[in-house]
Amino acid sequence: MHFPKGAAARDSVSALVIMAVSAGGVYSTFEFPQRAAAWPLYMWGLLAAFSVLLLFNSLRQTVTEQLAQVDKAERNARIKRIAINVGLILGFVILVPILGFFTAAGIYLVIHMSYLGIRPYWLVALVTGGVLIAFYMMFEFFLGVLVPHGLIF
Amino acid sequence: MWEQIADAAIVIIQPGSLLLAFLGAAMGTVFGAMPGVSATLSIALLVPVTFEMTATSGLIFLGAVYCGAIYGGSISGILINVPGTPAAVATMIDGYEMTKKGKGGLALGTDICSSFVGGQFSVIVLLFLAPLVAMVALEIRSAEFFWIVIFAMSTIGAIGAGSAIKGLMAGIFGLIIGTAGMHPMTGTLRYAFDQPPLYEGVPVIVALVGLFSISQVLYLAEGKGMDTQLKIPEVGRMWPGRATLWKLRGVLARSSIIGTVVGLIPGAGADIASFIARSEAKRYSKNPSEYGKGSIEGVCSAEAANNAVVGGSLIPMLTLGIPGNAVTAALLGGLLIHGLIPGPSLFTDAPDILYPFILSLFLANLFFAVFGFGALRYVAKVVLVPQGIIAAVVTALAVIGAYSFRNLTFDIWIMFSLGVVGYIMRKADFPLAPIILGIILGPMAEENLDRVMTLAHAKELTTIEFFMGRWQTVLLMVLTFAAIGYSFYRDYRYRKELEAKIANGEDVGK
Repeated sequence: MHFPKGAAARDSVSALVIMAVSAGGVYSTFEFPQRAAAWPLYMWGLLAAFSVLLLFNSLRQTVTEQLAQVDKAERNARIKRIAINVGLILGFVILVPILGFFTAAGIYLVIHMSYLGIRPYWLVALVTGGVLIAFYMMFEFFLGVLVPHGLIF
Repeated sequence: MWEQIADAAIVIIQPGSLLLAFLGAAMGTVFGAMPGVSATLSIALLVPVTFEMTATSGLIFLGAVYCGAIYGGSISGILINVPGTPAAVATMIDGYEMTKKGKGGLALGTDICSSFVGGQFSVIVLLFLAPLVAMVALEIRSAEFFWIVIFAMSTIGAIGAGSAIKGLMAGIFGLIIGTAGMHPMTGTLRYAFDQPPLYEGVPVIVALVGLFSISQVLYLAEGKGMDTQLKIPEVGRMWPGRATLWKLRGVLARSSIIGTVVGLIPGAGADIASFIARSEAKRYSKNPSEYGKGSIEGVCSAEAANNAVVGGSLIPMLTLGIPGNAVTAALLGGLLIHGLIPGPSLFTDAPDILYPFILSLFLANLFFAVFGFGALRYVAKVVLVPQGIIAAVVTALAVIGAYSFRNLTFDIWIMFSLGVVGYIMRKADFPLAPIILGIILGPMAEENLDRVMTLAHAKELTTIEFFMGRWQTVLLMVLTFAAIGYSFYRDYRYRKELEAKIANGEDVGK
């Protein structure tokens, strides 16, 4: 039995996930009346068919040895880093309707830039202040574009 | 048409229009010059700026951003060997070599002149060809239109970069997202999850901002936030001189034509055009060995072609409502928020908006050239803005963009979700552009298919029999299947080449 590695393994996993999602998608179309179900059914079906093709190709890939050389420690550190970045953006998205855009953005910008290694800290403060003033002037003052407001600002 | 052009000329020489075109070109140049900020992202982030503008003003601004960002992408490539946009990679190959030899100024000056010429050429083609295409497009029936959309989606897989199968899958994923909301014929709610904001479907602008900004933020956040090693070298004199430009006239003409033609093809964007033009320029060059070592022709060909894509890519978008690439999809989003439905009737329904927009692209090309020669020396430092700052600021701007479209917090959640999905797909090597094209084109395809099914039913024919009834539809079907067949062949060939390289012990990367 040949087990794909590296990029081929990633394709295999992608194909399996998409296949499962497509199966769920096909099933979901059974809830719709026939006319409304036709197009999504075709699309889910096509996606499922292509995912089978992708899986087939990934299993056939014979070029896996060289492609598979990925440092596990490096990969785990990267996954952790991305999870933290997603968490920071998620926190920002949650805070926007509660605190208002400008307050939430101020907190977010300071934390995220600091986390991403921007130094010295006065630069972080300067960029945060500059960005908030620029956004306020451009969107609220000049253009009249609505931004979310909350408890603080 | 001449009367409409004359009326449009009066609109665009108003101080307000001139100012917007200049600001758009300058902001586009600066955004495009920042590594990691593509032309698509630039437009997606700046669309909210136009929400309170009139349709004409908004489009003048966004059109100028488009032209400026395509040009600006090459600045960081030439100066620090980091392309601002994918379209600038071909320019960077010779541009950075010229910088290393102390000819950075000449490279930047040639870049500006070539972008200007390519851009203006394509706008002339757009101005005169688009109304003709629109006239023909008015005769297109539902069956043909359905197959034009499917053909456009399939060429993305056949022509776009990377795996063809993944390109097609990304397109289908977009078409599925496009089914969310109310079915136009029956009113059935699909994938709305009892959320009223989803009854009208996923807004294009919100999807665009999410897919291109949040995924890019996560991508940027993978690297180091700050690289203090990078320095901008002394560039010297920028104006290449009339004699040099005259020598480049053949390269400029050929590359401008290639860029415009490539722009017309769905799925083929500025990146593909610049590589084709560079390769053609090398083929006809008297000094092909200079390519890759700092050839001025290499810079000229790639830049003329990638800016010439602007006009070409707007033709299918404005006349058929079919955006050929992610940047025009972003621009189409800008049209939609102003209540303009791209398609053949746009030329008869809103010529007072459309012609000023087209003519303003001439101004945009002129203004980025003026901005380039006048201020580039002073603003070039934007290429050194640390990615950590870009990532955080882009997120904040994306939140405004998603929220202010409908003033709904729910849209911020859609943006965030699509951004994370987009990032995961990028990591798995799925392209994002077909997704956004699918979201836009999906409802169009379904609506036309529905109409065809109704007509076929009325004539007591099957849908396939109905399609087979007109040679135009059959031709489009053949082209679609040929494009899909070519996609599979391209994937097969790519795999074989990779296997051959591995067998020869060559490095193929990760």
